[in-house]
Amino acid sequence: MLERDFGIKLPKGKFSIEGKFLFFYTGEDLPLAGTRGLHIGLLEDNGFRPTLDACQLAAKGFIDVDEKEAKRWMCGLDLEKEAKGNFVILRFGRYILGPGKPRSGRILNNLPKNRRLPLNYMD
Amino acid sequence: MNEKLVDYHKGLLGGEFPLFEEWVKKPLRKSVRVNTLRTSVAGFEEELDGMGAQQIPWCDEGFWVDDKPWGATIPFQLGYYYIQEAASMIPAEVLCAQKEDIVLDIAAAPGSKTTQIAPSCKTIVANEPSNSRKSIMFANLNRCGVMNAIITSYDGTRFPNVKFDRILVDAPCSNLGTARKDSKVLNEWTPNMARAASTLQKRLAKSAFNLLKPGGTMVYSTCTSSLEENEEVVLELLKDPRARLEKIELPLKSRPGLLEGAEKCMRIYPWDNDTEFFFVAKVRNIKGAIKDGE
Repeated sequence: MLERDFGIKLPKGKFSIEGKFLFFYTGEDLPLAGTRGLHIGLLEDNGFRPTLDACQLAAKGFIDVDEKEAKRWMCGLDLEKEAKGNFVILRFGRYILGPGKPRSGRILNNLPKNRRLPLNYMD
Repeated sequence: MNEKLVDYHKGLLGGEFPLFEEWVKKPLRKSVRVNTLRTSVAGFEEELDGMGAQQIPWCDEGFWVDDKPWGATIPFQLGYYYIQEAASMIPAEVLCAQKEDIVLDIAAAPGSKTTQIAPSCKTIVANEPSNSRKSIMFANLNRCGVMNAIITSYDGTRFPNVKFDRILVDAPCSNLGTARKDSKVLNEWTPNMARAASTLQKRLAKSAFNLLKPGGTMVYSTCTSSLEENEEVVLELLKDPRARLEKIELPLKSRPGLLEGAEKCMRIYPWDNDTEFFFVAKVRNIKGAIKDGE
């Protein structure tokens, strides 16, 4: 689905699951205890949701937003926008702003707190 | 600036001590490194122009930038660049990881050097024993899109016996080099702090060296000035007959190591290149083949 709908092509590597977190690792298999690779998604009851960083690999299927919407989104706020599907991927120009969840005429913001910009960024 | 620090550095720097006094009070020049896992330097040129970027001579991806809050931008949050002090880009450049290398960054948090090395190598192990620092590193590695890293949390002095082509020991230190970023250290620093750090640094460096493949390269670095944490650690390491200190060539002004036998180390003073203090040494395990014609 990631490749079909969003053109996300992963290089040669291995998936692993830690709790509900899905990781993808391209390095050598070394005998060490630790977390391997990039956190690419969350396994939720109603399906899979890619992380902001997995979305950086997307090549198509974006919902484009304008600068004002992009700033609002990066400050962690929802957007008033119609969309369909379990999740959508937003883009502003070249910048892929990550996944959001469509619900009742809005796109709900999933941006992790540590990736949000301060609210005065919208000024 | 406390008296012990002044006395120690008058002895260490001699006639250059007034420069030390002057430069540790100057604010640090801001710099960023373009993350080539997200874009290329050429592909980020327009944004760099907007940041007032000037090339850092020793790192193709490194740029000095205007004094603005570069952590509060969309491209930063998406991992297009990493905010990293210019001198802290040196150790990874000296390590010079190659495409098939398995690399260990034994004291890796917050991940600046790991994210710098990761695009060049096959695998990088980013080790950090502290859980809180490991979380910050995990966030940074993900923000930069690093897929080839294993994040571990071993005690670096007792790391499992896995062999590496290249190892970075950017050792925990007394941090005097960070004075331009946070002047608190100028009141707190004492020679005893340096001596205490030195004990751990020697254990860490020796433990790391034992993980090096024959022919492999280890880079030892700190962001501090003391002999105890720098040359003395390298000389301790050189007691191992397999260890050979190598000359470092980078386009920047630097000073040789200050103790006999450690002259090939690189000392970088703030007034040389407008950076933090830095110390870098490159040590090769000469037991076995020498790699890639270095």
